Amino acid sequence: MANQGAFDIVTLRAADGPAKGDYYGLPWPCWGTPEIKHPGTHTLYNTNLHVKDGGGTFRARFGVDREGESLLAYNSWSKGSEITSGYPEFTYGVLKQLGWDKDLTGKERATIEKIGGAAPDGVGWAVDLSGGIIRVCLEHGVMAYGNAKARAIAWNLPDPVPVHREPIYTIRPDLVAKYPTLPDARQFRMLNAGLTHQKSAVDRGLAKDFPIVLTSGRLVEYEGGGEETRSNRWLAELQQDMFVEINPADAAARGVQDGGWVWVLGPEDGSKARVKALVTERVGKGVAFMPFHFAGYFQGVDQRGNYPKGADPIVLGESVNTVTTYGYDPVTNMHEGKVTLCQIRAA
Amino acid sequence: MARVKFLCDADRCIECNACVTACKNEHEVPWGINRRRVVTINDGKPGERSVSMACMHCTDAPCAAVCPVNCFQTTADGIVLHSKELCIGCGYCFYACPFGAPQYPKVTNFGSRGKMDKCTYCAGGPDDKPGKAEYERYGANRLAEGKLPICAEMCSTKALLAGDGEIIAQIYKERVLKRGYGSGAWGWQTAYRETVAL
Repeated sequence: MANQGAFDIVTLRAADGPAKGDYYGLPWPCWGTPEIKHPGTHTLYNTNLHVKDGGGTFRARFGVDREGESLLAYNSWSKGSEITSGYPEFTYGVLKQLGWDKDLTGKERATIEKIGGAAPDGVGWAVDLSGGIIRVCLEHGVMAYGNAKARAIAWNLPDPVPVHREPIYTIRPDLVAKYPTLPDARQFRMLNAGLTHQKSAVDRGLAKDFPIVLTSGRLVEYEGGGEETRSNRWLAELQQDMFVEINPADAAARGVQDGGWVWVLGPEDGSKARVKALVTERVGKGVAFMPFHFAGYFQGVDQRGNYPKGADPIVLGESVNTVTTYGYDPVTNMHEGKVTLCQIRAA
Repeated sequence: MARVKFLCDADRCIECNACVTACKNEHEVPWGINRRRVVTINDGKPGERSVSMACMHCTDAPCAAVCPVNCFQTTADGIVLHSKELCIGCGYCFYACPFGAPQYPKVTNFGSRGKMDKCTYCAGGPDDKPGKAEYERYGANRLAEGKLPICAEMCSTKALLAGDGEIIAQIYKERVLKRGYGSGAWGWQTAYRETVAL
């Protein structure tokens, strides 16, 4: 923060001082070797600036054409670009075709040829340890990662254009027949049985017993699982209890009082969490919210004694993940543990 | 000499509690004592507003008027300081204060009050020279170092302003003119017997 005052609040660039020319908040992607002193690319795809000045193009990430149509940029290039059209990612071979390989130093060329072995033309900018390809590209005003178009049809994803799919656990089971989740499939090494779970939930009429949509999220005081931030006494004092936000109408129907203890019941394996009720119109009727920064209680039982000595945070509470449920992203297989259904009862 | 004030722009406060945390950290304020806090009204409803509140360092401070031991004094900058040498923890100032600023540590199991603690505008205490003894009793003395209160310095949206009352009122006026609305300088009429004319 020592040079904060030197940065312009509109351009975000430092006018003078040791950070002169840099964009505020480095490290942005800075292209090339440290010797190039690239100022950073804080706004990607800014074609109004020269690539040496923090300008850029849209990366050619998905090939150069598909079904006969070019995927490269049309009528768009960054300021001062010697190529006034779209172009693919740069390799040693592309440099040769343009005749730009003569700008490489002997050392850079030797490194590229050593990496490439029998096929040096295939060495791309991302694996060129000499940084020569990036350097030569910057000299010619182009981006080593190419200049392409953004795509609206993501043809390699299960839904190339997003479509509505009901959640696995939904309060609208009547919509599941029309908007089912994706079929069960083996993804990476694992089975993703989302459809089986969704069908089972509908067949069992689960939404009748768990009529509230439970969403989880962050508090400003805590971060992530919260072990570190709940160990900070200034922050811990501001949020001393795990809680569930519940709408006044839902609270009244259940005899739940603001600040009173409740059980939040999850739809799988009889899971439950004992937390305080925060009765508020922050959440709509039929929706509840729980923060995900707490741990250290499990289904009503204090686990403080199980922490290694001196490692227990100041504030403990139920983990929302106790009541969240099955679900995996079909592309990354990442667990979707943020939203589910629940029931709430006064404890 | 300038008359320093606090101004909380309730149209900007996002209830992040950075002011509260910065204050507690700067002055090592114990658990349960809040020199500054953020109050939210109409929570979850249209028109929800949050205001960061601490001692406003009032003109003709009502706490000083009721103090039986005359522990309050107003500095040349308009900061209301109190002497923990003299304070007897009677709690009268808590009843007099329109902002709920005075805080009292519990010193016995019977709930008797210790010496009052409140915001010092980061100006330390009235009795001591800046140093360890003053820090332990009153917290940091940033003013002596030429710095403004940490709460306003740390405010993430610059909702909370501290400094020369005329300058911060001017900043607030310019903001309101530019954005076209303003719910007013909360607490100014009560604390300073004037408001920011818009």
